[in-house]
Amino acid sequence: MKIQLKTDPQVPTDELHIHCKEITAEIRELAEKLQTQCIVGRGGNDDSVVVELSAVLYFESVEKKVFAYTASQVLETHYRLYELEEKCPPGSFYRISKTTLVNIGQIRLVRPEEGRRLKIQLRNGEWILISRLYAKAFKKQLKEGRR
Amino acid sequence: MKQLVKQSALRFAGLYTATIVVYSFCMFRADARVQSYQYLLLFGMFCVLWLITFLRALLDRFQWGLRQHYFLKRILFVPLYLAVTLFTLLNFGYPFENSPDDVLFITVIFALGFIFSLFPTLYAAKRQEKQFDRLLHNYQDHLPMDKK
Repeated sequence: MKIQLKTDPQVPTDELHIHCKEITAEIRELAEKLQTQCIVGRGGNDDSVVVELSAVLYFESVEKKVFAYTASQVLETHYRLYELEEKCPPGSFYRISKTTLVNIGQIRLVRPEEGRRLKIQLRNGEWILISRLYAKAFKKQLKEGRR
Repeated sequence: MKQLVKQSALRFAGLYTATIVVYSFCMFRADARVQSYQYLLLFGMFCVLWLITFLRALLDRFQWGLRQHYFLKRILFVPLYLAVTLFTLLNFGYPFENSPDDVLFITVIFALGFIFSLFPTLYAAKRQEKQFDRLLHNYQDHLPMDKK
């Protein structure tokens, strides 16, 4: 398969076109993967960066902007948190606060905290607190498994 | 941060009001007079307790604070609460002025109660940690995306 990347400053939004003779299973799988398992964000140098959702540690909304945090970079996305909740494979990301959506696959540890709260440690070593409001539902989600 | 200050301040304002109401009622029943400095002392105590609570909550905003087990934070902060309360009661005057030994005795009981309550807390925390490790492991085994 030939892969060609073109830049055009006139294009209003980033688009990805796949030109093929016919839609094979391989092409379909690729398109689905791009649609559901990757995310495009803006990196530090304003470049568009594509990252796999599985590499994202968490999404955080800060002043109406949503950022995706990976182990090595921070990307600004054009999605809202609720859109990301719908876009991500079910059960893979979980809302742990009003502003944070965490990748459950990237959680290393879950620990209890005072006041019926929880804290999680991500694979990069960072700790995040889950408030009492969301802790109960998070625990329930872990107990009941992926829906 | 603003929310943190607001929440803890509201809680302590409520506690202060409740304490004043109960104390005034008890003094009224005992036909004794409440001194104005006692209200001030109580107010001072609640301000200091609020400050300690605020610092405790602030600690959780930092990665260092989050790394520590809550058990350790409890050991650090509960003696502070006890010390402030003890200091207030010893300087409170009536009805504690003639019974400092009783106040000390009650404080010791509270301190011992705190120390002994730590063991079941630690045991429960360890058990919960094991449960979380198991649940998380099971959950991650069935995730649709690859773990990286």
